[in-house]
Amino acid sequence: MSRSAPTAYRPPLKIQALAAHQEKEGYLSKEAISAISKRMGVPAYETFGVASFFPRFHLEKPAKPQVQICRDISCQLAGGEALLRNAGKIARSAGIKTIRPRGCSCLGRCDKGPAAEIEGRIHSSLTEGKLREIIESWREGKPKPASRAQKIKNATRLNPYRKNGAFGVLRALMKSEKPESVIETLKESGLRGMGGAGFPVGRKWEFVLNAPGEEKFVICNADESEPGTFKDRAVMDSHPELLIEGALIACRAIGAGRAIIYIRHEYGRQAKALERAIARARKARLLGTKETPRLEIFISPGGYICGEETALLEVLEDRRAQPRDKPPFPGSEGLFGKPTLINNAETFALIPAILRNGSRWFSSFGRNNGSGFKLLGVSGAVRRPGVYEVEFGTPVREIIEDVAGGLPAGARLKAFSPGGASSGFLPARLGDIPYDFAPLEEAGSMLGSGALIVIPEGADMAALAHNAARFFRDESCGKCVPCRIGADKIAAFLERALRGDARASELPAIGEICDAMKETSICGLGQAAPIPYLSLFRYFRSDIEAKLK
Amino acid sequence: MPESETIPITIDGEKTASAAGASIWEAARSEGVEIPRLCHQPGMEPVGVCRVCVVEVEGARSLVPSCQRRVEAGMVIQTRTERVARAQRTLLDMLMAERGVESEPENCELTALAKRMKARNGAIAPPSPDAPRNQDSSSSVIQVNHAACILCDRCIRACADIQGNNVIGRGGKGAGARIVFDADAPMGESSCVSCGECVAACPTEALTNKSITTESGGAESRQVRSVCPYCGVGCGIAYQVAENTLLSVEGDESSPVNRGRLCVKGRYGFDYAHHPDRLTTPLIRREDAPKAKELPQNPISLFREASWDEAFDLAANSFGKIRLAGGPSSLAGFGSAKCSNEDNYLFQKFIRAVFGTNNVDHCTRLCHASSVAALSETIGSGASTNPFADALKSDFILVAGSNPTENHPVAATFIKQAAGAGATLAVMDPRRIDLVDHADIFAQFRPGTDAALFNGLLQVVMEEKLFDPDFVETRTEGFEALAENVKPYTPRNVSKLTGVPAKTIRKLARLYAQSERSMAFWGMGLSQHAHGTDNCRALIALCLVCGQIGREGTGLHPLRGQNNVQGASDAGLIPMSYTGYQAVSSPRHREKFEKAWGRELSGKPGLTVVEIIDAAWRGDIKGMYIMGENPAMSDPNLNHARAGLANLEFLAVQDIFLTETACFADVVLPSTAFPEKTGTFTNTDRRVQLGRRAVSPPGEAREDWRVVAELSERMGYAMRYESEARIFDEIASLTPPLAGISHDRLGEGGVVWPCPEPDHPGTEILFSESFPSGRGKLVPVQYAPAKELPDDDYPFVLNTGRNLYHWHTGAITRRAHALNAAEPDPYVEMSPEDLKRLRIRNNSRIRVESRRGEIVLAARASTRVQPGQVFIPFHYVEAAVNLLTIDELDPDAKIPEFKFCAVRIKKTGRRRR
Repeated sequence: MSRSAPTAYRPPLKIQALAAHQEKEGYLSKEAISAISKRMGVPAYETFGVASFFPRFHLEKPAKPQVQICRDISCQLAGGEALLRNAGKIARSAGIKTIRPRGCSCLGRCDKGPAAEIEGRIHSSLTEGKLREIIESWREGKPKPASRAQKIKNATRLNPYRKNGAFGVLRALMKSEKPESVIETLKESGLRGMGGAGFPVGRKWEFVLNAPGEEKFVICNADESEPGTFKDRAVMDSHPELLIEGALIACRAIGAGRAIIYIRHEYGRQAKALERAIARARKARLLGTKETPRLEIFISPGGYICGEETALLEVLEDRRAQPRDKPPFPGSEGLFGKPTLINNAETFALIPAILRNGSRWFSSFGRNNGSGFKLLGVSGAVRRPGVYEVEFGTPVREIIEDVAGGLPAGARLKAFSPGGASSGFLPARLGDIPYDFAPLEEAGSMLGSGALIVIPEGADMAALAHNAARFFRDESCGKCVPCRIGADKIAAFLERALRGDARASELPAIGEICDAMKETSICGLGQAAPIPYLSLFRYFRSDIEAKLK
Repeated sequence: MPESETIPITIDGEKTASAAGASIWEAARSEGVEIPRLCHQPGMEPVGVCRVCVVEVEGARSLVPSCQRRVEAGMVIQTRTERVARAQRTLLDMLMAERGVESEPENCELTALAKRMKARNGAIAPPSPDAPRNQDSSSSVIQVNHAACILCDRCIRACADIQGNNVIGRGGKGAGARIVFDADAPMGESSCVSCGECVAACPTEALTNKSITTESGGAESRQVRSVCPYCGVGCGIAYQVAENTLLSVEGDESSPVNRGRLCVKGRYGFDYAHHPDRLTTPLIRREDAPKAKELPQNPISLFREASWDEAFDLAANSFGKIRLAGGPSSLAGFGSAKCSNEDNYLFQKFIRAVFGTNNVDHCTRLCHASSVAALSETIGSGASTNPFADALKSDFILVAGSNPTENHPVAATFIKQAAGAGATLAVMDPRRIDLVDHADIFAQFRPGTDAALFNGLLQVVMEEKLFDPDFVETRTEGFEALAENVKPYTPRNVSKLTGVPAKTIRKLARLYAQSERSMAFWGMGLSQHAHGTDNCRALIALCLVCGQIGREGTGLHPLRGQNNVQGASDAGLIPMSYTGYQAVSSPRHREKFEKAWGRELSGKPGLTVVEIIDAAWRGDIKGMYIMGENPAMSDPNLNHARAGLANLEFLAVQDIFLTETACFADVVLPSTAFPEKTGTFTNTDRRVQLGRRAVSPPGEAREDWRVVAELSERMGYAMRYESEARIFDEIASLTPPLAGISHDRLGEGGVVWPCPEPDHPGTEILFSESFPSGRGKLVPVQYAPAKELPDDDYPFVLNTGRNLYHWHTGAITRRAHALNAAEPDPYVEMSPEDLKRLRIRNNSRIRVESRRGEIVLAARASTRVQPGQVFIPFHYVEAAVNLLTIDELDPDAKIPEFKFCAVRIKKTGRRRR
């Protein structure tokens, strides 16, 4: 559609205004929220509702530097919990008494835990000594730079281009009379979405292509926030132009006039990398002309739930990130009610290679009936944590041993989480399970978001289940009853269990809560939140039963 | 797709057809299957947050929220399987565990549903005490218990979608989410207007009404359906009554007027009826009590208690003497737009048949007299043409000189709702009233330039040929003269006069003229001027040339002030006509009433309110009977008006409190408050509704009509009626538009007149085919400035009106404790710029002076008024703004210029107490 056509799109002005104010003042007072509301002519409750929802916004003035230490599974396995416990002491010894270091949710540095965000800069592989140095550097007014992130370790197939060949598929497609023909290739390739749900990509594109409506949107979901997941980050660090190209191919294929890359605010460097790629595309006149779509990056105000596709839409529509019931699916009624194609960052990045090399090329990869490959972040107790290209169907044990270098000396595999916190935990004896959608689902888990967390003997599975449950409680948006209350109940039960304060007689009630969450929650967060708890009882009973009264 | 389309579905094994587009919940309900739910409410947008309404749908992986999901052809739905019931029970279990309330409260939908679904309360651990969810007692009428809140979002939707107040939302996230007011203010300090819609919507005890009268109630309470005693909207209400005490008021869901909605006055302002100040026995003025224009310090000391006999005899003898000495025209009476049609009919009958004069009037003279005069002159009928709820059917809504969110709050909800649903809303007002928040166009004009602005709109309509030529041709007269008249009123000229940008004038004119359905609402802002009738003529001319009348969502609606201001005029409580606007000057009509009443009647139209008081001041009128009116507060230039009242030889005042006017009385007759009587009231839509007696009156207080009838008897004219219904029958027999109405017909939501026959359904929309006057008359008007313009001595323009919490002279609302607590003290709204310039601190006490009087009150900084203008509500006797107002009258309607006079501001050097 042409650029001058009327659009349903409205920028999220409240969120932008709040972000701008916080940038200036460091926080959002109630008076500021009221003033912003008045200026914008919106009810104050709406602005406060947004301001109080997202972790990026502070309602009280925080002491500088703000120290937030990740307390999710991978970082916990790397000693994050102790670091957080001692952080206050460390800060005092570094000469700053006023700050109160806080725990936070996964920062996407699971390969180099423990990680922390300090005044917007991500630091990884922290020790108490390093943390002290960083805080001291802030005190001295010469803050240390953020840690570098690892790129994809074995990328051999993702990038189809030689030097200077970027955007080749898109260039060809610009001249094509039938850009939608690429959808057929995607369908044949068997490519499935890499964000977690695994919906066939070609079918989704076709659905949006055929959805009635003049105006359509493409959204790239780069809001990866699942504990253990950092492969989209590595994609953007390694090949930002592939993601941009994939999203622009999608615009061309389905006839969308605007694409938005929704990226978590902790990925500031990755956003910059994308911007550089966008600049390259603009230079190549693949963007910024009358005939090309608009493409912009939206920095998320924060929170795991924003990665849920309908919650993401709500944010882009300037509201609290509360998911919508589906149907209607975004493909027919998405952003501002218009047909909207939402794919994960990795998915878009895979598109150029598949279209360049052909559907058969992609499906020729894979073992044990698997088809294709994907990127997988391996973290936890392995020698070489990082992001790897992995063929579907590869046995998990092989990934751990051969790809990631095996467990450190002396450590033995106890369990693994194949797809991030929401996939729960599987025991070592299932280590030969093929890494693929169906086998993992059959084991009560899921492939999830491409996050393999390796857990060594000696780890307390009840503590890890509690860690995951706490994450879901903290990240629940609170919209629907089962998730709002259920996630809290599971986390509270496990917390009491760890203290020796829970009773076995509570189990039937918790079990019913889990069922109700799976059956009635609006979105995947609530539906998946009980999985770690359930996997604890299914595979690691002895880790929990001994703790119950 | 067409609405009538149906699709096949199966519910609980029964094959059936459902309307396409319906939700599963609605489809099931229409099959008689009631799926339990907490967050869903018919009439509200579904939000699907409680998940209690889940069902099984064949092919769906998990359960499906029935309120959210639309039916699809062939859908197989199970609502009662064990799987469904288990999920529902668990959800209720979780909510009950979260609720943190020990007792089993009444009217708690959650508790009742949990019981019915056999949810096992107690199986799930209670919430941790780490994050206590607090109580918020800051509102004077609503208690907030966050612990009992289940976040169903019903209050949020009630506040935003039903009332359009936009105060409540969700704050926080996850387990810490809760409802918040504005930017997380305590409810009592938020922008909440205490309408109570959230309480009505709340399914738990998270939002409850604080007790207004007494804590008791319980099983012995009963419900009485009635109508609201406050404004002309005429909301249907239900009193909850225990013994003889009103406990609470709820909106009547079945009322076609308010559809269950209420405002703060209607819901929380009922306790005045039980106030200890109520008059319980007749009072007679002590011989030695002086009469002066100053209000006494201790009014009750002026009187002694008396028997009804003594009081009646005194009144009858005194009126008789005055009549004998000075003739009928030395007597006059004021009835009240707060009294019923029956009360007022008997009152004017008494004045006309017993006093023998047409000197009878009431406060309509002070509010919409000019609107009625202009409407009668131009289209031949002085009432609204469409119900206010027609706003929902309009494409364009003009609100001119009316502040409905405060003065007609429930009507405002419909206007806000319409604007929210896409209708264009334009507000014309000198003040930036709250409705502007919802408006697309705001024309903020200089006070008193209304006629110029309308002429400007007409000029654009003429210039750009936006008028409806067919309508002009077939339905109007005087087009050429009108077109000629408005020629000089170009947007540029009008912009200079009014301060409204020319662009806005053009846009407003175009949208009003060209929208498919335009509706115009107006209020005192247009009418209360010495040129009030001209203002209304110009608005009506605009409506007529554009053909925006006589259809759904298309017409003229003067929002009437008092609950029975329409009915009081209909009942003949005006000096120029009998019931149904049958002119006293018409021999035909006079003969009809002479025959019916058996007395010779005067054919000379009587004096109007301000004229009567002026005549009393001059000594021409010597005796007055005032029922339920308070001219010692409501008339302009009160020093003059009070002197007039003090000058009367004899004054009988009939009221429920010892009002400021009663201070001038020789005899005071205690009457019944609204909830203590039965009678009909006609709302702003012309809807005749029945108010029902809910409690009995205190002491010896008597119903107004019985007092009038008894006094009449004592003056030799029998008025014997078995009941209010028989009085209404007499009205109907004499009044063609009401001929088809009787009390028996008014059970469910009343009847809208004209209703000529008993089987006639009533008429909501008037003038589809023709006007009573035949053709609509286009009356050219000229802009003329207000009578007293600001100058160096008196540099400010004073505007007067009401605020949300009080009613007129404050007689009842200042005795309703929740309302008085909300706005207990008088204040003057001034622009922050003026305050700064005059070095006046916000809330400090200042003196406001006009050429006629002065008052001292608190300054309140407000961006609603423009610099150079001040606004003062007229509810407060301790700073009665009508001491300042000017008694200049409109030549046609005799309405005073309450909206414009010149004042000056002086510092007093004292802080507000």
